[in-house]
Amino acid sequence: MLVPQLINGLTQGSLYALVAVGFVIIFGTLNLVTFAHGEVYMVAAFVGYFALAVYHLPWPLALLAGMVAGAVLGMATEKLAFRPMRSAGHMPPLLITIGLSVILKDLAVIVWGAENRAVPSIYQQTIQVAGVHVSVLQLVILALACALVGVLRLLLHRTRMGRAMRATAQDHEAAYAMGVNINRVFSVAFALASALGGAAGVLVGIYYNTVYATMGSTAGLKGFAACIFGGLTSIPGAILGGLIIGVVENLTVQFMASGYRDVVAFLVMVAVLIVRPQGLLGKTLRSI
Amino acid sequence: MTMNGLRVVLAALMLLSALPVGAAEPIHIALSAPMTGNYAEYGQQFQRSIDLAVEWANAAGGIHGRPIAVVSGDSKGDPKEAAALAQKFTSDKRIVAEIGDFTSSACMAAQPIYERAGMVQLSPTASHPEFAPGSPWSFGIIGTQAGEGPFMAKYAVEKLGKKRIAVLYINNDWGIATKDYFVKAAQGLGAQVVAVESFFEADKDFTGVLTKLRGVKPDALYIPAMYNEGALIEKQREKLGWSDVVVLGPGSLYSPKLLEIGGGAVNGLHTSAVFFPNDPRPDVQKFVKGFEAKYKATPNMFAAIAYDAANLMIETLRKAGTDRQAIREELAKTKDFVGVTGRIAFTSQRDVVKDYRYLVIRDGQFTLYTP
Amino acid sequence: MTPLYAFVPSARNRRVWVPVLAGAAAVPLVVRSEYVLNVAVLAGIYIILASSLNVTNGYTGLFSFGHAAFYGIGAYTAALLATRLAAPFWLTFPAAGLAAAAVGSAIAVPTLRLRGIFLALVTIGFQEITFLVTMNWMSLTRGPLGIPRIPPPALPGISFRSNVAYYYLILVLDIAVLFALTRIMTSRIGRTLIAIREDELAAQSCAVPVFRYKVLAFGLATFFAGLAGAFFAHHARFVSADSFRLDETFVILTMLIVGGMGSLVGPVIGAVALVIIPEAFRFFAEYRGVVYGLILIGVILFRPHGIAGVPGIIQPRGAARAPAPPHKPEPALDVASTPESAR
Repeated sequence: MLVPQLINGLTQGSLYALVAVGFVIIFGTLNLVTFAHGEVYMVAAFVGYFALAVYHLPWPLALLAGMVAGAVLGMATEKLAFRPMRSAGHMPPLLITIGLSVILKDLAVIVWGAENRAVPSIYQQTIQVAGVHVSVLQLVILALACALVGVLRLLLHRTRMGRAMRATAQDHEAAYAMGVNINRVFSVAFALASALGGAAGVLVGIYYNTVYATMGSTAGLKGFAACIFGGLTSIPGAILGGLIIGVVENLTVQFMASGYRDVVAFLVMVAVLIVRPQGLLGKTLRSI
Repeated sequence: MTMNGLRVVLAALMLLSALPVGAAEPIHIALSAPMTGNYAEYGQQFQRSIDLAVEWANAAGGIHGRPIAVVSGDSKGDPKEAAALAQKFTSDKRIVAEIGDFTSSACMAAQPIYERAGMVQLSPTASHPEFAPGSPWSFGIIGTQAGEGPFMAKYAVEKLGKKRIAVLYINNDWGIATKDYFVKAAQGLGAQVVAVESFFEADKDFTGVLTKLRGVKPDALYIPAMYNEGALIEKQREKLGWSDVVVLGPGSLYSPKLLEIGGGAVNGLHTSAVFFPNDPRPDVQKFVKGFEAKYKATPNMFAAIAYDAANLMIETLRKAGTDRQAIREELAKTKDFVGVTGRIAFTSQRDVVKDYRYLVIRDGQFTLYTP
Repeated sequence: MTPLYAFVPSARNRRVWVPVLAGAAAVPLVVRSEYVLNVAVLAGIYIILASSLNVTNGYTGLFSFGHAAFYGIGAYTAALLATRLAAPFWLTFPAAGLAAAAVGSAIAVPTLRLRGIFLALVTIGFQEITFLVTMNWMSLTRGPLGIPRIPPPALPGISFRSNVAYYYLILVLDIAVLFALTRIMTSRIGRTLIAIREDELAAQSCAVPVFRYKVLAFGLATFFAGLAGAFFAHHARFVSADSFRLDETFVILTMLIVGGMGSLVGPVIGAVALVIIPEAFRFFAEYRGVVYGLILIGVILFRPHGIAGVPGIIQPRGAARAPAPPHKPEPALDVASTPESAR
């Protein structure tokens, strides 16, 4: 059962990776951490659910809708939590995002209820590859995750805004001095990061056939665990971290007990923080 | 307005509508159930059934001319909240008895408070074998897993002829008890339990554990879970292409929502029921039709058992009056109450033994199992 | 008139705190409802929790996000000793504090080198690991079943059937804990911790063993959290792991921030306020999260030192801040047109 578990792990891991890359983009450009990312993911997941289950849109449109919702919510977070607190250090914006996440979670329960919503299935089939059953949906998700990361790379390296973001990530002051519109960069960073998180949310909803108001909490925490791997500033590190956590989680289920699955992410996070807080991928590698 | 506020208003309106000429002082009973949170849908079912039962009772003159009023509290499925509600209810001199909670752990957290204050705690769904025996004021009417476990084991081993059974259970007090009784009974009938795995309440990812269970090649899979997780497990099992296994689960799976969420993946699932909406018995049909008319939805097992709890309480109040102690004495004597979920007769430990039916899902419908 | 955050109860200002104490002691004489007394007892527990978190987050400036885990360790320790070994309250209470402090100190050693967000994340990691271990370690903690039927405290001559006794007990414990914290924080230890918070480098250069003091702060904070856990266990008489998760840490943190960090009265005010508000507005129970979140955001935006906190802990004053760029800068250079080699 090793190969199927690896595929399970890579699929789940790619979803963690998308969330983690979002954190890295925000931390890299703004040098700040947001605890509300999980809730952005959750709201996007619900938007995707409504698109699929209520409006019966095709899944690519649902995915897009979720990403747009994520981006909008992310930009709103930036305006509320980070703009007014720009020069106040790590903690005040962090605390504001904690407040935001609590509010969003509660509002979601009030508006949408606490029960799980059933997301309609897409790609329920399996195919046989070399004697192993592989779920088509898993392949689709892996492909989509790769595509999204690919698009991100293009944006960061081939567009002016991407250059501006990378410049800001290296040095706010210098970038500003070079005429980069810092405020715009921050907004775009948040929008990009939240769009990725939103994509992850929609895909998770499709993969597990369910969305629910509290789904953001664990996702956010595991996203942190994944991006710690790369020292909070490395995108390849975040991707690697996500994939490794996903795979190790499933191997833990296979070879130990399934109750220990969630501990993996946090053990990895704590271990990396204690042993090598700058992450396993060496010094700050700021972008792909 | 919040659910809680709405409930109180509804209760008040029911009071007003049920008052005979020369308004009489209402009798208050409390309901502790999860109206929000993970188990919100079950709490809402409780509320609906109890409202229905009370409405009908009040229309028929209430209890010796006095209408019944329900005071509801949201326990959120959280043991601490259930305990806080217990404090509130027992301090309220008007409340004579309590129905609730949904989960065994919420009930057991509130148990010492009801015991200290001397108020009946009648849980429609707590099935943990240690709940009712834990206090003379606690009563459970759904039957414990000591009864359902062997029944399902017989279904799997004797009726369906399965020899290698894997179990995937929810890791809470109910799931553990359900798993234990099933495994013991199945092994006693000669089957091999080849793997036992668990998942936590909020888990949604079953791909890893299902892949692992598939690896030991069982011919049957028993899933002690609520219908939410049950549906997800089935969908993910289908996604993984694992179709050469027979799936069974306890009566907790028996709900129209399982069909709604599970879709085609749940066809072929075997389960049990103490309540079946197509049961031709007149009192069952009266309940089903009344529920459907009022709420535009078919009642599930949880609604049915809450309905029985309400009616049992009402009948007890009729016989015993409004003294909290007298209510307990009378309730404990119940031997012949027949509700929509069958006969309720309390053992000396204040739980019951139920009769179950064999069910299987065919073509998206629950049907009685015929070999 | 001393600002609220500088208030330290002493013989000189007894006109201020003696009436408060007398008022608190008189509450059960006036309030008869078990339910309201229950709320008061809860406030009492949170006073200890918020005050203990204050030691690390307020006085020492360490951002620990794992407090609820130590609360839980204390609660489980007391629960296990009471149910398995029939240990009496006067034993389980200190044992719980010591157990929590032991784990806290053990965790502190490898992690307190980290700062800021990294410290926050590692404490969150430990919080979650503690939760998951508790849920999985069936033979010790009964996992998700929790530990039921914990006996009430058995103090000679006092019956704990009603909340009145619990209220007086938590009142006594609160006074004891606050007294201890006052003494510690006004002593050299407290001043050292504050020095570490204000300027760690300067403290180090004054030959302060900074790391050791940080571990001490952590141990103290977790000790008191454990004590609160023991009381909780004997009051609720049922403990289960999901009462001690990150959400709970956020609640305690919110109380501390709203009440104010780095002062003695801040956490007390925060705890009482944030326990009473949701109960007073039980009608809006669904919106509890929203209310908490809004209060937290409001405080950070408009009054970061809270009601009675020492100003400058959350929003550091001083030159260590980068100036905020204005909103619409005129581009001096178009970044795109600068050749690669110049960047």
